[in-house]
Amino acid sequence: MTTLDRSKPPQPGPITLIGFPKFITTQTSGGTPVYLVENHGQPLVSITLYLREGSANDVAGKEGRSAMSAELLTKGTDTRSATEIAEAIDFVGGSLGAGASWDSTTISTSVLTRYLPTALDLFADVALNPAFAGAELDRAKLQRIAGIKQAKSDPGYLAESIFSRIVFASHPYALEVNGTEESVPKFTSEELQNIYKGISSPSNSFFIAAGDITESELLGMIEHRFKEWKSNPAKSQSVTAPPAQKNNRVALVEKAQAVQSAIRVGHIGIARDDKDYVACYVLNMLLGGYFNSRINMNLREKNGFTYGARSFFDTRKQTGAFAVSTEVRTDVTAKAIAEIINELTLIRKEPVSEVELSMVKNYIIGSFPLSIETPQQVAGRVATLALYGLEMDYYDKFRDTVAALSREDLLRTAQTYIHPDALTITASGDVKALESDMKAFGDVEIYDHDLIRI
Amino acid sequence: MQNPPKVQTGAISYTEYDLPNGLHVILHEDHKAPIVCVNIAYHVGSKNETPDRAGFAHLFEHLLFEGSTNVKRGEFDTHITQAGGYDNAYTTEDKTNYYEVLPAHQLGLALWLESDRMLGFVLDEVSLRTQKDVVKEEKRERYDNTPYGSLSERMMSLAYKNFPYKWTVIGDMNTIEAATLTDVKDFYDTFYSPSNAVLVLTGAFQEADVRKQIEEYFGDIPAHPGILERPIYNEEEQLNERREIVTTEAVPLPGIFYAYPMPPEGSDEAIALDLLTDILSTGRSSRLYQKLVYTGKLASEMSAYVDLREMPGLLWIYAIGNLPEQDTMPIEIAIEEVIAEIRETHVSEIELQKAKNKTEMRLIASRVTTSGKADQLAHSRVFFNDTSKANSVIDRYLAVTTEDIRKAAAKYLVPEKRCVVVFVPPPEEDGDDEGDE
Repeated sequence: MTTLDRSKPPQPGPITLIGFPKFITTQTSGGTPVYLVENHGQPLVSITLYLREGSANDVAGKEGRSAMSAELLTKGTDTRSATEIAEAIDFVGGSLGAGASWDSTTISTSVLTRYLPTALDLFADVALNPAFAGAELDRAKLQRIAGIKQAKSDPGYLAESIFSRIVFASHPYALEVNGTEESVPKFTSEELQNIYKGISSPSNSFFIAAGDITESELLGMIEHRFKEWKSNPAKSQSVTAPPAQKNNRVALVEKAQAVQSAIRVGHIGIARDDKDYVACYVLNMLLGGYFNSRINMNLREKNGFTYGARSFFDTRKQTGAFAVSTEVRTDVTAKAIAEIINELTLIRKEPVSEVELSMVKNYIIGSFPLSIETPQQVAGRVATLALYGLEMDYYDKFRDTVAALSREDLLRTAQTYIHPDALTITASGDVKALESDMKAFGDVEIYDHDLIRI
Repeated sequence: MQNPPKVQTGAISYTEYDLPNGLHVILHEDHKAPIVCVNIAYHVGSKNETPDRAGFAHLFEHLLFEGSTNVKRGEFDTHITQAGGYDNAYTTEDKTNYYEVLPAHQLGLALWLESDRMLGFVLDEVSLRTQKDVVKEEKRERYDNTPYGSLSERMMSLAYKNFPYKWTVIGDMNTIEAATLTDVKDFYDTFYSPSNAVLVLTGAFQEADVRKQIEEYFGDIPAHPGILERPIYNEEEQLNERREIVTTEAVPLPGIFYAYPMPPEGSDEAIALDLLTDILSTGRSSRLYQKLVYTGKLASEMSAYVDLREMPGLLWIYAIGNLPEQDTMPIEIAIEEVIAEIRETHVSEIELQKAKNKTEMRLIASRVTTSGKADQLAHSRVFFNDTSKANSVIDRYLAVTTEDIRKAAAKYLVPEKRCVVVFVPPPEEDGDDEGDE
């Protein structure tokens, strides 16, 4: 036996290359696509129905209606009360849920294999026959308004809300996805039911399943439960992407008894199907996407301003945002923002080093197998392909696409998509303590904790 | 009622052994995915601190990423991310857990890193200063700047009068700041010895090969010089309700929080009480949801859960109101009505079966990933000195009867034995009054 040399890391062993797991693409007799990630490792099955319309169909004054419509789906059908549905799914230890995001509305269930028929009966019933009962709507409103009041005491929510409002301007992405204290009380059962009728259609949706089930079992179970589902011309709201800003916009939101500021800094980004998505993904990873990223290393490890700092391109069907997000103690708020702006400026000015680029590539490519360990994780990625119309071999090619990016590609990407001279800068915290320092970044707009400008 | 069908319980196979230096090793070989997890649990947490260093165990967890004999400051995370892995750690009252998840061919890297910091730990003033600041920001972000964020601090000081569960894992600003390099060395020497640790490997490796590697990396680590004394549980039984009412504009809606002292994790009574919390609050058919949220419309949210610890922990129940100015008394009355019924009559067999099904689903789901399995194995060994309890626990849940639940509720969930923290927003008024803090 040789003595162990502890002075340097050991050589890695022989690598096991794995591709993106195979998944099955099929469809119902009605033509609705069905995707299956079959895996019998655990006796669990998850199934999600994606409707291809979501909260991006909301309009000002009616914000939150898509989310509320989706929430009511599991709160009673023509033949089952809300409590009967809850009893039935709870008894088998499963989950049944529905919700809306900007780009889709989903109904999903997850259950031990032996209880799948019970869960799917409920799943199909809430998808096809939701009742939108007035008494359930009243309850949901009460809870939703309480939830909004709660959210307003969260500094991250306050900073994020104003950030979205400024960045997205008149686009629906500027709206509160869960509604406001003004919009929610006015919803009626009839309008929420119409929202759902307008988006529920076998020709504008897909199923995705993961776990302990075969293709023929899955199709058999879906087929007879959804045979009455009628097609319906989809009415998608088309809104042009918001224009890029010309200058900085700076906003502060008052948060009672704040000891920290929640900060958002950014601007318009890209859509999920953008040709430069992977370049932006890699660029962002290096800039603020992982622990070793420039922004986290600067704000956390070098300066000790924060527990963590991150950046992201929030990509959606239409153009989303690019944002840096962090929470720092009040007295270093302006310093932290200045450091963020420095990083955004630097990444456009000089090509990243070879070492930095290879580090980030190693991380993204090397960690890919970890992100597809469970069938549910794989299904989540397949759903992204289906929802955003990406090539079905996208994840087969992903690592090669990352590997091919050069320092020049990243510089060009930064110069195209990062704009430190036209930022939206928002912070929620102690406005009195922050206001004068924030003027260094531009004229300061001030909002109260109800997000009303003062 | 008929017995439910005998089901697959998701047991985790493993082998285990001790190295001569006392390090306990547990191996679970599984080739479903080309991934490995290296998990080290040290049997130390905030209950091993002194009051003037509250928060130290967690600060120490941060410091352990700052460098060891052969790994310079900042290099730990870089090595792991460069290998395509991720690492993290967490500290509880009772244990501190470090883990790395990596592509299988990088297993050696994690063994090198973990053994190096068990063998010798290097720290300078810059690292200590920076990590104190980072931990203080963690406290501000997760507690001080969060509505109801002072809850755990308030509840722990109500529920525990003597035992070191009386402060929180995060500690407080002054005791975090007080830490010195000498404290760090003493703590390392006392608690980070191989004999106070459990090393778990799960995933795609060959057991015979990996045993050799573990021997190479960990076999020659000597015992550390410190003398480990574990705190003895010394709380007296609570005889009267303990209550604190907090008026603060940091909360938007009134919140009622109950904590009942309960037996330690792994006891029969704790298992029965854990199932009871499912009956109380898991799913929209649960008793508290129905009474407080659905029928009563008194609360916008509620939950009941067990805060299981190595020594007696707490069973929590909370509810958040619907309106800022709402009277909290009807909520408290409703909670006590629900609990009284549990104490006095048996829950139905159907409710119990529902709770068992939920628990089985939850336990199976927690074992889907390589890292989930490692965490379960390490936890059982550290808490019970018995790895097999990770597997027998499901059957123990399935064996609970309605009478077990009634008896446990009658013994522990009585008004005299609860600790209560009520948060209320101040009465609505215009103007910009400053808060007290």
